[in-house]
Amino acid sequence: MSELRGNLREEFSDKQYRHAYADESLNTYIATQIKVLREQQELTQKQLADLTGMAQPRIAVLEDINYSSWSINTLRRLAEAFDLRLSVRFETFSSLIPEIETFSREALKRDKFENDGWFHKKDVQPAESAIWRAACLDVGQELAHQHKNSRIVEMPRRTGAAALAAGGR
Amino acid sequence: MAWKLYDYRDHRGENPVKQWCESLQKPDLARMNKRIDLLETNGKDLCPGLAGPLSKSPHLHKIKINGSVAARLLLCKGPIQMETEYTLLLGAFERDDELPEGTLETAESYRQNILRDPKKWRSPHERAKR
Repeated sequence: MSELRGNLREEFSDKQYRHAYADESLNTYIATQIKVLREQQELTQKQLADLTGMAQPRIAVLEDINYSSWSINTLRRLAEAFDLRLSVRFETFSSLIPEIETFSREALKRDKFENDGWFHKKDVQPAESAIWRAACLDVGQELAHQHKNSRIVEMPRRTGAAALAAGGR
Repeated sequence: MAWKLYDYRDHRGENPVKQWCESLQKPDLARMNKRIDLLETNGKDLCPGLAGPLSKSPHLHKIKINGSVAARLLLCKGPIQMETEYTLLLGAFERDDELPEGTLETAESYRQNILRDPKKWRSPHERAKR
Protein backbone atom coordinates (compact mmCIF):
# COMPACT_ATOMS: atom_id res chain seq x y z
CA MET A 1 0.00 0.00 0.00
CA SER A 2 1.40 3.44 -0.92
CA GLU A 3 2.10 5.91 1.86
CA LEU A 4 -0.67 8.23 0.63
CA ARG A 5 -3.16 5.35 0.44
CA GLY A 6 -2.27 4.34 4.01
CA ASN A 7 -2.65 7.91 5.28
CA LEU A 8 -6.03 8.40 3.62
CA ARG A 9 -7.33 5.07 4.83
CA GLU A 10 -6.63 6.16 8.40
CA GLU A 11 -7.70 9.80 8.01
CA PHE A 12 -10.96 9.04 6.19
CA SER A 13 -12.32 7.28 9.26
CA ASP A 14 -13.23 10.80 10.41
CA LYS A 15 -16.35 12.10 8.65
CA GLN A 16 -15.48 15.82 8.77
CA TYR A 17 -12.01 15.08 7.44
CA ARG A 18 -13.08 12.89 4.52
CA HIS A 19 -15.79 15.30 3.36
CA ALA A 20 -13.42 18.28 3.46
CA TYR A 21 -10.69 16.31 1.64
CA ALA A 22 -13.16 15.10 -1.00
CA ASP A 23 -14.59 18.61 -1.51
CA GLU A 24 -11.10 19.92 -2.02
CA SER A 25 -10.37 17.10 -4.47
CA LEU A 26 -13.53 17.92 -6.44
CA ASN A 27 -12.66 21.62 -6.68
CA THR A 28 -9.14 20.75 -7.75
CA TYR A 29 -10.32 18.22 -10.33
CA ILE A 30 -12.86 20.48 -12.02
CA ALA A 31 -10.75 23.65 -12.08
CA THR A 32 -7.69 21.81 -13.37
CA GLN A 33 -9.68 19.87 -15.96
CA ILE A 34 -11.20 23.07 -17.36
CA LYS A 35 -7.70 24.46 -17.87
CA VAL A 36 -6.34 21.19 -19.33
CA LEU A 37 -9.29 20.83 -21.74
CA ARG A 38 -8.99 24.46 -22.84
CA GLU A 39 -5.29 23.94 -23.57
CA GLN A 40 -5.97 20.57 -25.26
CA GLN A 41 -8.38 22.36 -27.62
CA GLU A 42 -5.87 25.20 -28.06
CA LEU A 43 -8.29 27.85 -26.82
CA THR A 44 -7.39 31.04 -24.99
CA GLN A 45 -9.43 32.03 -21.95
CA LYS A 46 -11.01 34.75 -24.12
CA GLN A 47 -12.02 32.24 -26.81
CA LEU A 48 -13.54 29.91 -24.22
CA ALA A 49 -15.33 32.88 -22.68
CA ASP A 50 -16.82 33.74 -26.09
CA LEU A 51 -17.93 30.13 -26.63
CA THR A 52 -19.65 29.99 -23.24
CA GLY A 53 -21.03 33.52 -23.18
CA MET A 54 -18.98 34.37 -20.09
CA ALA A 55 -16.36 37.06 -19.51
CA GLN A 56 -12.66 36.13 -19.65
CA PRO A 57 -12.02 36.95 -15.97
CA ARG A 58 -14.80 34.51 -15.08
CA ILE A 59 -12.94 31.72 -16.91
CA ALA A 60 -9.79 32.61 -14.94
CA VAL A 61 -11.78 32.25 -11.71
CA LEU A 62 -13.23 28.88 -12.76
CA GLU A 63 -9.73 27.61 -13.57
CA ASP A 64 -8.48 28.44 -10.06
CA ILE A 65 -8.57 25.54 -7.60
CA ASN A 66 -9.54 27.97 -4.82
CA TYR A 67 -12.99 28.38 -6.44
CA SER A 68 -15.71 26.26 -4.87
CA SER A 69 -19.15 27.66 -5.83
CA TRP A 70 -19.80 25.42 -8.84
CA SER A 71 -23.17 25.35 -10.54
CA ILE A 72 -24.28 22.54 -12.80
CA ASN A 73 -25.56 25.10 -15.27
CA THR A 74 -22.11 26.69 -15.63
CA LEU A 75 -20.51 23.27 -16.03
CA ARG A 76 -23.09 22.40 -18.72
CA ARG A 77 -22.16 25.52 -20.66
CA LEU A 78 -18.50 24.57 -20.47
CA ALA A 79 -19.27 20.98 -21.52
CA GLU A 80 -21.13 22.25 -24.57
CA ALA A 81 -18.26 24.61 -25.46
CA PHE A 82 -15.79 21.69 -25.21
CA ASP A 83 -18.26 19.40 -27.06
CA LEU A 84 -18.08 16.88 -24.23
CA ARG A 85 -20.76 15.41 -22.00
CA LEU A 86 -21.00 16.47 -18.37
CA SER A 87 -21.12 13.66 -15.82
CA VAL A 88 -22.26 14.42 -12.25
CA ARG A 89 -22.77 11.50 -9.89
CA PHE A 90 -22.50 10.35 -6.31
CA GLU A 91 -19.56 8.07 -5.56
CA THR A 92 -18.04 6.08 -2.71
CA PHE A 93 -15.05 7.49 -0.88
CA SER A 94 -12.91 4.52 -1.89
CA SER A 95 -13.36 5.46 -5.55
CA LEU A 96 -11.53 8.72 -4.79
CA ILE A 97 -8.26 6.93 -4.05
CA PRO A 98 -7.36 5.78 -7.59
CA GLU A 99 -8.57 9.15 -8.90
CA ILE A 100 -6.05 10.89 -6.63
CA GLU A 101 -3.28 8.46 -7.51
CA THR A 102 -3.71 8.85 -11.27
CA PHE A 103 -4.36 12.60 -11.25
CA SER A 104 -2.26 14.15 -14.03
CA ARG A 105 -2.58 16.30 -17.14
CA GLU A 106 -2.97 13.21 -19.36
CA ALA A 107 -5.66 11.71 -17.12
CA LEU A 108 -7.73 14.90 -17.38
CA LYS A 109 -7.70 15.16 -21.17
CA ARG A 110 -10.81 14.16 -23.15
CA ASP A 111 -11.44 14.04 -26.91
CA LYS A 112 -14.30 16.22 -28.11
CA PHE A 113 -17.00 14.61 -30.24
CA GLU A 114 -15.30 15.18 -33.60
CA ASN A 115 -12.20 13.37 -32.30
CA ASP A 116 -14.15 10.70 -30.40
CA GLY A 117 -12.96 7.73 -32.47
CA TRP A 118 -15.86 5.38 -31.82
CA PHE A 119 -18.33 7.64 -33.65
CA HIS A 120 -16.17 8.14 -36.71
CA LYS A 121 -14.72 4.71 -37.51
CA LYS A 122 -16.34 2.63 -40.23
CA ASP A 123 -15.76 -0.69 -38.46
CA VAL A 124 -17.06 -0.20 -34.95
CA GLN A 125 -17.33 -3.89 -34.07
CA PRO A 126 -14.41 -4.05 -31.61
CA ALA A 127 -15.57 -0.94 -29.79
CA GLU A 128 -19.16 -2.15 -29.78
CA SER A 129 -18.04 -5.46 -28.38
CA ALA A 130 -16.04 -3.71 -25.70
CA ILE A 131 -19.00 -1.50 -24.77
CA TRP A 132 -21.34 -4.51 -24.76
CA ARG A 133 -18.95 -6.48 -22.54
CA ALA A 134 -18.64 -3.51 -20.18
CA ALA A 135 -22.43 -3.12 -20.06
CA CYS A 136 -22.85 -6.83 -19.29
CA LEU A 137 -20.24 -6.58 -16.57
CA ASP A 138 -22.04 -3.58 -15.04
CA VAL A 139 -25.37 -5.42 -15.12
CA GLY A 140 -23.73 -8.50 -13.63
CA GLN A 141 -22.16 -6.50 -10.83
CA GLU A 142 -25.43 -4.71 -10.15
CA LEU A 143 -27.33 -8.01 -9.96
CA ALA A 144 -24.69 -9.49 -7.67
CA HIS A 145 -24.93 -6.41 -5.47
CA GLN A 146 -28.74 -6.60 -5.36
CA HIS A 147 -28.58 -10.30 -4.57
CA LYS A 148 -26.08 -9.71 -1.75
CA ASN A 149 -28.25 -7.00 -0.19
CA SER A 150 -31.59 -8.64 -0.83
CA ARG A 151 -33.68 -9.63 2.17
CA ILE A 152 -35.89 -11.81 0.03
CA VAL A 153 -34.96 -15.44 0.50
CA GLU A 154 -35.60 -17.30 -2.68
CA MET A 155 -37.13 -20.73 -2.04
CA PRO A 156 -35.66 -23.53 -4.12
CA ARG A 157 -38.19 -24.72 -6.67
CA ARG A 158 -39.50 -28.16 -5.91
CA THR A 159 -39.21 -30.32 -8.91
CA GLY A 160 -39.14 -34.00 -9.73
CA ALA A 161 -38.69 -36.36 -6.77
CA ALA A 162 -38.77 -33.54 -4.21
CA ALA A 163 -42.13 -32.35 -5.51
CA LEU A 164 -43.52 -35.87 -5.45
CA ALA A 165 -42.23 -36.45 -1.90
CA ALA A 166 -43.99 -33.25 -0.85
CA GLY A 167 -47.27 -34.57 -2.17
CA GLY A 168 -47.10 -33.11 -5.64
CA ARG A 169 -47.56 -29.53 -4.41
CA MET B 1 6.54 13.37 -11.54
CA ALA B 2 6.70 13.16 -7.74
CA TRP B 3 8.39 15.94 -5.78
CA LYS B 4 10.32 15.57 -2.56
CA LEU B 5 8.91 17.67 0.26
CA TYR B 6 10.78 19.00 3.29
CA ASP B 7 9.72 20.88 6.44
CA TYR B 8 11.72 23.65 8.06
CA ARG B 9 13.27 22.74 11.45
CA ASP B 10 13.81 25.46 14.04
CA HIS B 11 16.91 25.93 16.24
CA ARG B 12 15.51 23.39 18.76
CA GLY B 13 15.11 20.81 16.00
CA GLU B 14 11.32 21.05 16.19
CA ASN B 15 8.95 21.13 13.22
CA PRO B 16 6.90 24.36 13.38
CA VAL B 17 5.11 23.64 10.09
CA LYS B 18 3.73 20.35 11.43
CA GLN B 19 2.80 21.96 14.76
CA TRP B 20 0.99 24.80 12.97
CA CYS B 21 -0.90 22.38 10.67
CA GLU B 22 -1.95 20.34 13.71
CA SER B 23 -3.41 23.50 15.26
CA LEU B 24 -5.90 23.79 12.37
CA GLN B 25 -9.47 22.57 12.73
CA LYS B 26 -10.03 19.15 11.18
CA PRO B 27 -11.67 20.28 7.90
CA ASP B 28 -8.96 22.92 7.40
CA LEU B 29 -6.27 20.33 8.08
CA ALA B 30 -7.89 18.03 5.49
CA ARG B 31 -7.85 20.85 2.92
CA MET B 32 -4.23 21.67 3.73
CA ASN B 33 -3.15 18.02 3.50
CA LYS B 34 -4.92 17.73 0.13
CA ARG B 35 -2.95 20.74 -1.17
CA ILE B 36 0.31 19.31 0.17
CA ASP B 37 -0.51 15.93 -1.45
CA LEU B 38 -1.05 17.71 -4.78
CA LEU B 39 2.24 19.54 -4.45
CA GLU B 40 4.01 16.26 -3.78
CA THR B 41 2.41 14.33 -6.66
CA ASN B 42 2.22 17.02 -9.36
CA GLY B 43 4.28 20.04 -8.31
CA LYS B 44 2.69 23.47 -8.30
CA ASP B 45 2.21 24.03 -12.04
CA LEU B 46 -0.58 21.63 -13.06
CA CYS B 47 -3.23 23.09 -10.74
CA PRO B 48 -3.79 26.85 -11.14
CA GLY B 49 -3.83 28.63 -7.78
CA LEU B 50 -2.18 25.79 -5.83
CA ALA B 51 0.91 27.69 -4.69
CA GLY B 52 1.02 31.13 -6.20
CA PRO B 53 4.21 33.22 -6.13
CA LEU B 54 4.38 36.22 -3.81
CA SER B 55 5.06 39.50 -5.58
CA LYS B 56 6.94 40.92 -2.58
CA SER B 57 9.18 37.84 -2.19
CA PRO B 58 10.04 36.20 -5.50
CA HIS B 59 11.45 33.01 -3.95
CA LEU B 60 8.38 32.34 -1.81
CA HIS B 61 5.05 30.73 -2.70
CA LYS B 62 1.80 30.54 -0.75
CA ILE B 63 -0.76 27.76 -0.34
CA LYS B 64 -4.07 29.24 0.78
CA ILE B 65 -6.99 27.56 2.48
CA ASN B 66 -10.31 29.33 2.66
CA GLY B 67 -11.96 27.47 5.49
CA SER B 68 -12.94 28.66 8.94
CA VAL B 69 -9.76 30.78 8.93
CA ALA B 70 -7.55 32.18 6.16
CA ALA B 71 -4.71 29.72 6.69
CA ARG B 72 -1.61 30.27 4.58
CA LEU B 73 1.43 28.05 4.23
CA LEU B 74 4.59 29.66 2.89
CA LEU B 75 7.04 27.51 0.97
CA CYS B 76 9.84 27.71 -1.55
CA LYS B 77 10.99 25.67 -4.49
CA GLY B 78 14.18 23.82 -3.61
CA PRO B 79 16.07 25.65 -2.28
CA ILE B 80 18.80 23.03 -2.79
CA GLN B 81 17.47 20.95 -5.71
CA MET B 82 15.29 23.44 -7.57
CA GLU B 83 13.73 20.96 -10.00
CA THR B 84 12.80 18.19 -7.59
CA GLU B 85 12.02 19.67 -4.16
CA TYR B 86 9.80 22.02 -2.23
CA THR B 87 10.40 23.10 1.37
CA LEU B 88 7.48 24.11 3.61
CA LEU B 89 8.68 27.05 5.68
CA LEU B 90 6.03 28.69 7.80
CA GLY B 91 2.30 28.71 8.52
CA ALA B 92 0.35 31.91 9.22
CA PHE B 93 -3.19 33.32 9.26
CA GLU B 94 -4.16 36.22 7.01
CA ARG B 95 -6.41 39.05 8.18
CA ASP B 96 -7.98 41.39 5.62
CA ASP B 97 -5.91 39.67 2.91
CA GLU B 98 -2.67 40.54 4.71
CA LEU B 99 -0.15 38.27 6.39
CA PRO B 100 1.00 39.37 9.87
CA GLU B 101 3.86 41.85 9.72
CA GLY B 102 7.27 40.23 9.42
CA THR B 103 5.96 36.87 8.12
CA LEU B 104 7.58 37.14 4.70
CA GLU B 105 10.89 38.26 6.22
CA THR B 106 10.83 35.34 8.65
CA ALA B 107 10.09 32.86 5.86
CA GLU B 108 12.88 34.30 3.75
CA SER B 109 15.32 34.05 6.68
CA TYR B 110 14.33 30.38 7.07
CA ARG B 111 15.07 29.82 3.39
CA GLN B 112 18.48 31.44 3.84
CA ASN B 113 19.19 29.20 6.86
CA ILE B 114 18.43 26.13 4.73
CA LEU B 115 20.68 27.36 1.92
CA ARG B 116 23.52 27.68 4.45
CA ASP B 117 23.01 24.32 6.19
CA PRO B 118 20.19 22.13 4.80
CA LYS B 119 20.93 19.19 7.10
CA LYS B 120 20.45 21.33 10.20
CA TRP B 121 17.46 23.41 9.13
CA ARG B 122 15.14 20.99 7.38
CA SER B 123 13.99 17.37 7.36
CA PRO B 124 11.66 15.26 5.17
CA HIS B 125 8.03 16.40 5.35
CA GLU B 126 5.95 14.92 8.18
CA ARG B 127 2.20 14.71 7.63
CA ALA B 128 0.15 16.54 10.25
CA LYS B 129 -2.51 14.40 11.94
CA ARG B 130 -5.16 14.99 14.57
